[in-house]
Amino acid sequence: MKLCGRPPNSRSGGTDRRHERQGTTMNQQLLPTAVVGSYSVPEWLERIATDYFQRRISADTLHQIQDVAIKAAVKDQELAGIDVITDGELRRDNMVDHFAVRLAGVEIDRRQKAYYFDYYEAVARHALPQAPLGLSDEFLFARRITDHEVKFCITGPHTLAKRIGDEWYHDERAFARDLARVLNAELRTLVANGATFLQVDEPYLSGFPDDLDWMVDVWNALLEGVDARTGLHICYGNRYGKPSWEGSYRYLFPRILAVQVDQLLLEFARKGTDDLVLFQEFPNQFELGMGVVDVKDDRVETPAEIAARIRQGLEIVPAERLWLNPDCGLRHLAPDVAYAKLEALAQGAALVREELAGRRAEER
Amino acid sequence: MLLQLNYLKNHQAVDAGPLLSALCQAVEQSAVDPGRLAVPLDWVQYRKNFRPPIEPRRYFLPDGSADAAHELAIDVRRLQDEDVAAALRRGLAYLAGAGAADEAPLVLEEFCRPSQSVIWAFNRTFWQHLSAWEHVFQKGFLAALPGGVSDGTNPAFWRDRLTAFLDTLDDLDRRSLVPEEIYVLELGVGGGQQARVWLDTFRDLCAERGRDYLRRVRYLMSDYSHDVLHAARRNVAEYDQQVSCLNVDAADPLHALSFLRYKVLFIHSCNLYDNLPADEIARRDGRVYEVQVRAYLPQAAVEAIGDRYSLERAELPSTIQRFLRIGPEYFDEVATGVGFWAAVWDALRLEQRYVLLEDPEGYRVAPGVSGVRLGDLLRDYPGDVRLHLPTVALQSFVNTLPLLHPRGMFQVQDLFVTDLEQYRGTFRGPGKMDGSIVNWLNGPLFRLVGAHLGYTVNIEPFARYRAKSNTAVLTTSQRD
Repeated sequence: MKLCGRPPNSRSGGTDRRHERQGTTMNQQLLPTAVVGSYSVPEWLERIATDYFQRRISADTLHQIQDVAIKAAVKDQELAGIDVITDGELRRDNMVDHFAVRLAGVEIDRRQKAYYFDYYEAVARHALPQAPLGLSDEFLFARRITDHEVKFCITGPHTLAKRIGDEWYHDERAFARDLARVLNAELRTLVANGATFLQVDEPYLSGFPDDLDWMVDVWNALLEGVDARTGLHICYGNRYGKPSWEGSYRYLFPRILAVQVDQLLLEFARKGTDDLVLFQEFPNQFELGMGVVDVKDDRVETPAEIAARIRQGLEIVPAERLWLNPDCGLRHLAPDVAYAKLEALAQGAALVREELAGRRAEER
Repeated sequence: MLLQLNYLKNHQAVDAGPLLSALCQAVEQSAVDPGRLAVPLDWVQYRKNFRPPIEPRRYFLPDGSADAAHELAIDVRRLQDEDVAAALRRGLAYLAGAGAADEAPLVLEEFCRPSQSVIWAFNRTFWQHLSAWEHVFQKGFLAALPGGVSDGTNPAFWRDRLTAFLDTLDDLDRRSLVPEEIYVLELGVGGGQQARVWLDTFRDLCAERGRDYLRRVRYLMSDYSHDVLHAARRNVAEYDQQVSCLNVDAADPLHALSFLRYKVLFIHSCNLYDNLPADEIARRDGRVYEVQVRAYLPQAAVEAIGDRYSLERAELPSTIQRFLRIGPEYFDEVATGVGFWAAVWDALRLEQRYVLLEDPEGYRVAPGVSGVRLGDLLRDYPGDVRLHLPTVALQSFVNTLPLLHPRGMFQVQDLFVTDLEQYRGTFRGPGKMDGSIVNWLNGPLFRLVGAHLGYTVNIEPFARYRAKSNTAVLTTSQRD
């Protein structure tokens, strides 16, 4: 398995050296490219998934089709030249229900959906017991079919607490904390099964900036003892391929610096790079997973456009801490568009790597 | 023979006895197989439309060969002045392949989807040369609306809508998320009356709440017609700091306004979508057909126009083409040009035929609109039906929503069918409205397309604000 980037040796925006992994063969390539999580869901797969939720096909049939679709998604990412890939999250009907159905203590009264992407009305009616979610099988399936490093993403406790009904805790913070406890065990299991890069997705936070006050502790509990590179993806939403909010990442700083995570994955392609300056204003040791591909626009950026964005990132963040990815998941893009965007990402990264190599050779 | 009673005036009885007697006699004497003949009886409410009173329609297979089915559509409203028996005989002879549908029609185009027809070039000409038309006929286009009023300027309606908008802005303000510039986009600006009401009402509501949002408003008036924009701008002269005029293709606002992607907080249009190119499909005996049309001028009109404007029959098609390119200025006198235009427009008809769709399940509801197929629309609606596909309005819809701010408001005031069953009760177009075209919009299809894009589409009758209104208001809300 190829691993990307420098070993994660610092987990926080501060200076405490919290974590160092040994014994892995790291690919030292600068500016690693990665996907954020989901890959394009073709229209035919949407229809098949809807057929399942309408009870027209069996779960077994759906899973077989998903296996094939995931193999194709993995191959697409490889061919496009992406370094760190995912299974495309093609087993997930959406980013909440995939977890809600696996969380013991969460109940779903009605399991039929008019459209596969709809949300269940899931409700926590009991304290969440410490029970496995069984996500490692998904990770292992992807790892078996590629020699690229596989990143595994989970939906974060903030998002789950916002979307899953709470009839037990009657306190959003307590619910989120308990979700973090359960998910922490799941992350540890994933690491035990070989996961090297785990990402937490929080698309709701930007609509509730004040929640950051208590979410820092929740994320730190979530990531406690998770011996892998960890990432925290905070975006402005991507439900149906459109943002849920508009604004600036300024609200994150400086509170975010207290989160014990290796990498922040933020969107900069669609929103523009104005917020990059925050990484200068608030010195930190995070890796930046910089969104340099707009996932809400079908237009495929040229490698030169992407390279220009990367150069803007490099003005603020050293190359050793800069990762490159799309703004968010590619789920809502057509397959040909998603592929072309990833290819442009890989080519744009290659352009800048070449420049960096040339500059460093000159310096030597 | 299958008699379909489609539309009645206000659901009132019609004495169809003489017609049916003439029809039975004509069918008996014709070579048409009555077992494959459908006769829809319609009451077309638009005094000006594209149909002859009795219209034969053939069915074709995709390879161009004739299908065995036939249709003879009758507008019972307009039979008084017709020699019904002769018209029925002629129509049936045409269906049997033994004659023309009309006496020596002057055909202006090949068969095509309705949205591709030359009638839309006339429609475009109307908006591009509106001032010439209005000047010659000494009346504004709003006079063509039922009652001569537009629901687009109803004060109570706008007060409600903009109160909701201010609530949204206040909510964003509490989160410190109100953008520095509050973009408002109006698609299709008419005479500028709507912009005026919007800005006046917004100003008053801001004053009532003690808010200072108006200063930040950037009101974008967009239309494809410079003529219309120029006239509309005069109506909002006092808001010069807020208003900009933009030439925008209604089918693809995103193309011109991509810099505003997800930034426009209020998007609205009124009586625009019903005036954009639309198509139709029909299901008969479980088979789904595409409606195709070709524009023509009846022989009598060709002679009358030729006499009046000294044009030979053979010259007429090229003269019309040049007129559509240049406008009424093509003639030495603009008034003459408008007179020619109105005469051709009045006489213009559409011959219709049905062509079988091989894959109706997978048929795209409009080019560029993905995710929703015809099968999704028809699945829960069995039986014979003929309905509209609002092709360009749907394109406009999907190419406008990406401009909408995540918390923004989107609203379309227009003529909507809210349930497919309504296609069976009233003729839904195309009708002629002065020099423009009107087609009702397929509301259920907007709901499907909206849902696929992550929006819940609501369509509410406007009757709450004006009892006899035919219009409805489409709004969207984000699907969770």
